[in-house]
Amino acid sequence: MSFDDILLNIISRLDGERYKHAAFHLMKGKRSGQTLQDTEYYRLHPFFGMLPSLHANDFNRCYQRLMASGLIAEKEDGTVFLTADGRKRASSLGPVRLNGWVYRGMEQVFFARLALTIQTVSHVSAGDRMFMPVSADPAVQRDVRNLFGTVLRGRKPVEIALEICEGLESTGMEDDRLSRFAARLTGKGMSGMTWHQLSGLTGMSEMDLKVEWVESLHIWLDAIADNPTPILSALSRGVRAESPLTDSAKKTDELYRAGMGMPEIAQRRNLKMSTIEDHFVEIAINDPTFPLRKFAAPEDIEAVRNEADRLATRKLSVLKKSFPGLSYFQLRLILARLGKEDGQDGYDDPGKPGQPAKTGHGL
Amino acid sequence: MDMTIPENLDSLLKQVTGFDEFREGQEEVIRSVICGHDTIAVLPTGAGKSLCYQLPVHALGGTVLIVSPLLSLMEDQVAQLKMKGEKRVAALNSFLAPKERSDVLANLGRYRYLFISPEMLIQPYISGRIKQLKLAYIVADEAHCISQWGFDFRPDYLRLREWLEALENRPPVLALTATASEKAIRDIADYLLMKQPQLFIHPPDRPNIAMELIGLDGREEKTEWILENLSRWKGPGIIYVQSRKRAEELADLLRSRQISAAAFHAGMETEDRILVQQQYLNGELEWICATNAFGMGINKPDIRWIIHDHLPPSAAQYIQEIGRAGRDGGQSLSTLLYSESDADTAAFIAMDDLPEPETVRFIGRCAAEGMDIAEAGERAGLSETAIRVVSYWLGRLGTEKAASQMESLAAGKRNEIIAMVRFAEGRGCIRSRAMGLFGYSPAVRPAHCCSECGLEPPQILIARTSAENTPGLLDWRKRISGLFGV
Repeated sequence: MSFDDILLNIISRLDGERYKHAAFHLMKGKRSGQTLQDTEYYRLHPFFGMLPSLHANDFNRCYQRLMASGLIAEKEDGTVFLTADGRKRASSLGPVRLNGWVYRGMEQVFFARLALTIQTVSHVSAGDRMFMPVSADPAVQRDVRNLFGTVLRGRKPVEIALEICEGLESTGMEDDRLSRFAARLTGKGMSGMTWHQLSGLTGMSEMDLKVEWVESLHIWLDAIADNPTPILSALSRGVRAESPLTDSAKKTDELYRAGMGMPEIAQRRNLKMSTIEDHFVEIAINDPTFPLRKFAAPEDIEAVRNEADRLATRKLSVLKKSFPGLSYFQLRLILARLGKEDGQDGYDDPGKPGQPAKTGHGL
Repeated sequence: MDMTIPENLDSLLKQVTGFDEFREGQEEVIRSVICGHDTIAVLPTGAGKSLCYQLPVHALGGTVLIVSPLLSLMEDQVAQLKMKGEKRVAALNSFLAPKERSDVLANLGRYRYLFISPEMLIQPYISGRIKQLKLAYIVADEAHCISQWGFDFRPDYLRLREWLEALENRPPVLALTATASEKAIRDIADYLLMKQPQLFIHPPDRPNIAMELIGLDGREEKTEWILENLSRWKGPGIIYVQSRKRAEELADLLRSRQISAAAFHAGMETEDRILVQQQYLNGELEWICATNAFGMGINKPDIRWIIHDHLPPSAAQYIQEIGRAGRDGGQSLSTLLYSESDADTAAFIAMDDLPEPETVRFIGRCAAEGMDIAEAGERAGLSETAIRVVSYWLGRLGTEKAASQMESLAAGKRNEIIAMVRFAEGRGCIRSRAMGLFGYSPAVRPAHCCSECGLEPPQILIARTSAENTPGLLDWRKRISGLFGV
């Protein structure tokens, strides 16, 4: 799927309630309360953190393109929505196979390990022990060194090549796509291509190539999780997010569970109260046992839920008008638990192999 | 410390590197460091500077702390050492993830070579940890960056002085650079608190690099010249350009003529920069169109041709850049394409990063009212580098002196550009005049000297015989088989 179509897909889910920045932060995987909340409300998990180094210029260019071609438009207040043409286009799109929520940019670590492993085998088997590593990241270098001491020990190049080829084959991705994927790999006398070079060769834009590459990695990593093989599992170790919480929110959660109140946590962690509030929203989104009733009266919770349904909105500013007596924080917490009412958590774990289709596919 | 200084360093050299002989200039420097002297070594690019800091530690033991202000260069040196099989090497810089940083810090005493950026060095925790190490000596790499007169002035580097000041038992310091004017050498000795430093200066002359100076009228003519000449003659080479845009423009134009070329600049992803470097080292890529910031990491012995698409803003930068040619000793060529308007562009870019005295006063006033200097700098529209420069001088000199410091820095830069303009517009042996900019004269006049001494580039260039075929997209199975050699 092209970058334009991805953005169109995201905007179609945002449902005319968000500004373009929401889509940008989502693709970059910004770990702010707002973006995490958006991801949850609008079921945007596949796209979360899909392009961690996305540049605002590239994003804006794409956004302007969609505007100019009449697929999207902005309301007076700047929120963006799909036009009739946009809806038509969006409904004709194939399924998204991204799985951003689970990998959060870590697919790049998998690729870096894979690329360095291939480069190393390629050089060493040609008798060349001195080469400039394709990954300058010391953690990746360390991981790969460990692999050569464990799972790769005594393996012949042909065995490794076979496992990689069979793994790629099993994903069902078409040959041209896999050839574009393999073009980024480096070996002895055979360097990988830059995005610019690959773009010149294929006629695809650099952004489309990058998006395709990330999606290919997600598809492959999902397949590896379903049908693990020794080398590929070792290469993909630790790339799936274990906890849906950010590290910082996890610390806040631990302190809260240890019996501390919010002001106390803020003081202890030397963080602003608003940050701690963001953490609580994040925890509320992810924790089915979150004690919402400690933060708002049951009748208020009920009323907000009904109003949100009635108005078919999740916009805070709208709900705040109906409930001036509740704080933004309370409203955010209630919205965070929307659709997962007490005890019956409607949140399906996108971390399970094969599951992302449920949250990710279609429109 | 009980230590015997080896009479003969050859056996140490052989044992560590496998080489039989030192290259010119290396042995004196290494001996001076082993004897515990503060040392300044000015060795031309390609003379084997890195051996000067790599070898003495093998005689002395302990850890060498290498302070390096240029991140890309630091990464490159770490990679080079690792390639040679050195395991006890680490770098502490802002590229490291927190986890990696704590890993390095946990194993600090284990390393033989510890590279560090100046801003890391002054962080209290890291600084404290390093002070506990048994440091054999401290290396200030690319020491010209410490001099405000250098083209690469890095204000953070000046903080090294404060760090050295705070050391109780300061180990000897080795300052290494490829090019430095007399003024810069004085700065280096002063800022690094050197005590009667041993000075080893080798003129930056490279007889195997012929020098060519060509006057052209503006950018289009330069583009034409480059396309015409590169269609006829082969590289590998580097074209130094002034902007990212120009780098990409030229690379695209060359490619459209079936000449394999790629841009190389700070705006590219790290992975892509590494790939371009790989391709260039492998000979898969013939030309690189690079901005000055990222030519640093390129360490390719057989570069035959350096072309400057613009006037470098200082003699030191010019010499450093052409010095990347012919490291294998083979005959090479450097071409400076000059047009009159270059001076203005060079001045504009050089001054761009330098705050006006009025701006310094404004920031001084803001700071006096309790505003954060960084915030005040941002309000004044300064770049991050400029904010660091101002912040450093404000702290040391106070507002008025810092403001006049800016004036003298600007004047210094202007003078360097004027000297380069005179050089580009002048007549007479280019090599002699280039060396003259550093106060030397060439030791020998090589057969292929310069365009003023009757150089005929066709005599030293290799003709392009056929257009190269750019390979198509290889089938993925074939590519993977090829990579694994199966």
